[in-house]
Amino acid sequence: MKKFLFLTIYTLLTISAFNQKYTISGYIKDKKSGEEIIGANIFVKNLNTGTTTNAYGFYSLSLPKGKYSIVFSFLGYKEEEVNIDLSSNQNLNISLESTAIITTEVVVTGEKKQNIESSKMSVIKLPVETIKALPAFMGEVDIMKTIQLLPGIQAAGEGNSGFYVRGGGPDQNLIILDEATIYNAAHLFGFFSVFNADAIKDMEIYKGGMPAEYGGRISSVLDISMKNGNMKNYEFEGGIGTIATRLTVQGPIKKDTASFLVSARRTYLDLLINPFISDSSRFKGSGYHFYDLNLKLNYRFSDKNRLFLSAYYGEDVFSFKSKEAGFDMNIPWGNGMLSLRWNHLYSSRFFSNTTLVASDYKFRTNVKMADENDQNGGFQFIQNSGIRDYYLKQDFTFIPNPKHTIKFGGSYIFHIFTPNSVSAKFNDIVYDLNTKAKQYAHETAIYIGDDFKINKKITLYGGIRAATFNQIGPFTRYVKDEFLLTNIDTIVYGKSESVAFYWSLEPRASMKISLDQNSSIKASFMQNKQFIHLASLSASTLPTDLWVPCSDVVKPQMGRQYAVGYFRNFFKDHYETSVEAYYKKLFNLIEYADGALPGDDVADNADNYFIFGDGYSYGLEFFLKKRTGRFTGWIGYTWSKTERTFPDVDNGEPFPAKYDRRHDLSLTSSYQINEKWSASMVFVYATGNTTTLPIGRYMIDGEIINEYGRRNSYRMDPYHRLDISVTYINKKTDRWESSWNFSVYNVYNRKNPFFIYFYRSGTVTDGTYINYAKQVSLFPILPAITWNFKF
Amino acid sequence: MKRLLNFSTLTLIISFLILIGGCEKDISVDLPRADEKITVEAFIEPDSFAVVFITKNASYFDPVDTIAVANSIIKGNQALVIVDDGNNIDTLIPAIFPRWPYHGYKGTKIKGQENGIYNLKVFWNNHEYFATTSIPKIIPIDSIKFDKFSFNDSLGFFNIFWKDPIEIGNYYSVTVRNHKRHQWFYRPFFGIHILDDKIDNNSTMFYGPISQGYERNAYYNDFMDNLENIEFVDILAYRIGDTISIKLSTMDKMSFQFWSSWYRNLITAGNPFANPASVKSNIQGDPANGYWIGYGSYISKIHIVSKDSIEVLP
Repeated sequence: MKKFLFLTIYTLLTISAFNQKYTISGYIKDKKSGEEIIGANIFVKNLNTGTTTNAYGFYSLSLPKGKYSIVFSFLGYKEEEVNIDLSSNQNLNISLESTAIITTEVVVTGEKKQNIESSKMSVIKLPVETIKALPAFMGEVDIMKTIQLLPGIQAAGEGNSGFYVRGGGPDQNLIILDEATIYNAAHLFGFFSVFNADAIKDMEIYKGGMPAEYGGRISSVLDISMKNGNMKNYEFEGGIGTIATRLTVQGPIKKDTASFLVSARRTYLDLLINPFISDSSRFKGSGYHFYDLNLKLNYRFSDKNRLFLSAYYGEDVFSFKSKEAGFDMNIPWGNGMLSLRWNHLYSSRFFSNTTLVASDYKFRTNVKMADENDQNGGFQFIQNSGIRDYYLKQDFTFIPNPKHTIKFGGSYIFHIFTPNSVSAKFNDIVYDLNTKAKQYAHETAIYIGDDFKINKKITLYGGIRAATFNQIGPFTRYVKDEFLLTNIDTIVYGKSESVAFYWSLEPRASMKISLDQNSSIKASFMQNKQFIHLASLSASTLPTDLWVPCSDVVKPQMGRQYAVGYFRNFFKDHYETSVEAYYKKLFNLIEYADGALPGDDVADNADNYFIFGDGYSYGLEFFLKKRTGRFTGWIGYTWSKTERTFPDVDNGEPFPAKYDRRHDLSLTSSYQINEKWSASMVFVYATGNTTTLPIGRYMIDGEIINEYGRRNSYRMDPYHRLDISVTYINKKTDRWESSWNFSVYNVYNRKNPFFIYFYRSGTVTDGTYINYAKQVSLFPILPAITWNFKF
Repeated sequence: MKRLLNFSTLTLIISFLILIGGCEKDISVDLPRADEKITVEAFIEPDSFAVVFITKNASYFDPVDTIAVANSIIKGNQALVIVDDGNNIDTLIPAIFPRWPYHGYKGTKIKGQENGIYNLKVFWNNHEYFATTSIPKIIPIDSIKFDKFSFNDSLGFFNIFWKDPIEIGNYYSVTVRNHKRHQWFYRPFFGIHILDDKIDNNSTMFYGPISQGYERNAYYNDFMDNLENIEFVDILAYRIGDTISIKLSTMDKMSFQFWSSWYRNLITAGNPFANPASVKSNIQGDPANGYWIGYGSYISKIHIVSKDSIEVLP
């Protein structure tokens, strides 16, 4: 490892030594808050070249000696033009002033070309302001809901927490918040995400062409950055809405040196509903809420050293209490993370970031059944599952000259999996179900990638990532017979003993060829492996789903994706369009075997009940976006096909994936009517989800048994919905801002299918038996009002 | 217990979601027709002749009236059913039994024996079906305990105990017959009637509480529809004066796999979040559902003399 690093650095330094150039570097910030801007543009007018700021707002550009006119810009900010005479390395920090309301058709110089100029493809970046402009569900602005409006990214439908990128499963998306992995990004089965928009600065999603610095998942990366906190003034921001209240406080600890941000959100649906539930209702005593807490501290020691501490904790809590029945159930689940990052500039062209992370996801069920007569506590049942990671990551960015941006580094993760730990107590008797065994694994990776501007027309990105995964003991493998019934053997692994070892070599490449000033074509290839799987017992994604490591029986998932695209801007870059086609092959996917049940892993391994298979997906994505002006928005349309092949399902014939979707259309728009009023709308249409339904029935021992049709062979009705919202700013000064948001979800009250179930009545043997099909829909038309404030 | 909890958790969560705004409506779904198949329910026990019931499946939304039900039963000379033990052949004869579908077939020559291997052949409508099973070693019930209710000591449930053999991989089922009410052995109302020694191998195993058995198709749906009007304990518990037979049967792995997949199908049926579970039939040949099982059955017959004494009858 050391030798590798040394050689790399040496080579890079040698390259740069041959080019006698000077470097201009620095940070680009928001003038008012001092917050760094991610992805801001630096454009050298005379050379028609440029760069963008990285995730920390840092940029570096090496140019030959000379006089330059440099434009710094970012959407929603006034651009700054600076003339410099470059004869030595220069540090240039720039503060941009935001244009809060876009009243005229602003022309942005540098940024406009990013989508066609960059070698990156299949990547979409959304500043939180764009997200906030769209209608919010029940008044809650949501990042996850918004990304699902982009082509190639599918919502699974109401009541499902995952999202699906280009035919990949919900576990194949790497979701990171300030570098820390978030394992379950959903509250209330996906109705809300765990990301409180007030605490978020920016997000970027890669659907393909993933650069080498990202790994560990095979479908996509959603990289979310929290705000750092206002470096200049104290700021309070929040909202009181129909179902939740939010408050964010940020400000300087030491002006221009250190700042903090604290953000909290809690829903109170339970408190609102409870008084209206009658005492006789079976829902009496049930409650549900979720909350989130975000914290960020950052300290700038100098322009060369900076420290960030980010923390998140959030939980969903479902509870049900019945005094009469002596029943008390409490089900909390949620994520926590802590990330410490150190930015260091070795030189103006050599940027380093060191990250330390602890990340955790837990699901727990506590049940207590005891009536007043039970002196000994009655029956108690506790179930735990989850995953915890400790993470160390080192990233370097080296920019020897404007032609090359080289990123390299490595990471190490220690995973602790709690597959399904159950304990029960009946009065004084404790049942140890022998399921407390955790699973442990080491995951390491090194990578290098270079973004190489060969000439004005061609940019090439090449990268490679090498990763290893090692599951270690203590671990007990229960070896099953062919019927999965009897344990014919057990293999016990001692502490630190290797249970399974896997490695992977992952090439990544992409290329851009400019056709003219306004258009380019791009192509990309990526191959990744993923060492952890999400095992879902159900046909939908639930918080009970288990994260399981690769083991002696479970192989890593692998994905290989090819994509090509055509990118073009119109009308002085006010409009941007793209068409992308992709083909993706997936290997070693897992599913539970037919009819597996929770509890199968008691004195057993959950992965003994897995079946394995492959899959593929291909599709065509169209995107048209109006970027600037009073009227903004986009249309995204995806045509795709996704199938799976499992030898144990339908005799190995391909079957449609749960989220196979031929058509997926999203339409978003927002319109700034005047300084006080703005309006927005979202319309979505998607082919119905697939499901498996019984096609026949027969009787055994007096019970009616279902005979199922082919897997996922039934398609439910299409999903479509229109949301609208209107925002009224009733007061806006430099010090105080107050606005009202009125939104309507599902305007025309479409009853979108959530699931179909069958209801039976009567008795077969006397000829009175009847089957009915019922379709359950979740949300009808839902109006909401939220009051937002900022001071 | 755990299965019950998981299901109720899900039910509650879903109920809650619907409570906060969801709705449901009747829809018509256009399903393909199921291929015609027969369902075989066949077993053989020590010292008894083989018993075979044959019925037909139906497409999911096929109307169910008395004619359809009658037509679904294969009886009389409609099918030819043969059992052999490797040496002898027994052509089963049509017979009437005290449980649905009432019409079935019964052996007259070969009685089951511990460790015996038996082949079944069924010929129906130009189709041919076959299966093989064996009767495992019989394991006796060691003791029976009558558990009185704290609130009414003339009523109670039973618990039974037996010693599991040293080798792992023993599979059991428990069925009961109340001589006052039933002419057949039924699964107890509460709980899953099969179990294995995965956790308790080579130790004293127990099954309980054993409630009264139920003939599901006759009463079950009515019973479930009228839960509120029925005195639970009256129907489910045993009372003083009852004479009960408790049957502990051993079975082979394939048979246990059949029953566990059968339970999985029942538990997951109607649960839209569960993966569908198909029942693993051991009937081969043309496509068919059902089972051919050899049970190593041990029966304990008991009489509840008083609240403190039970008598084991020969």
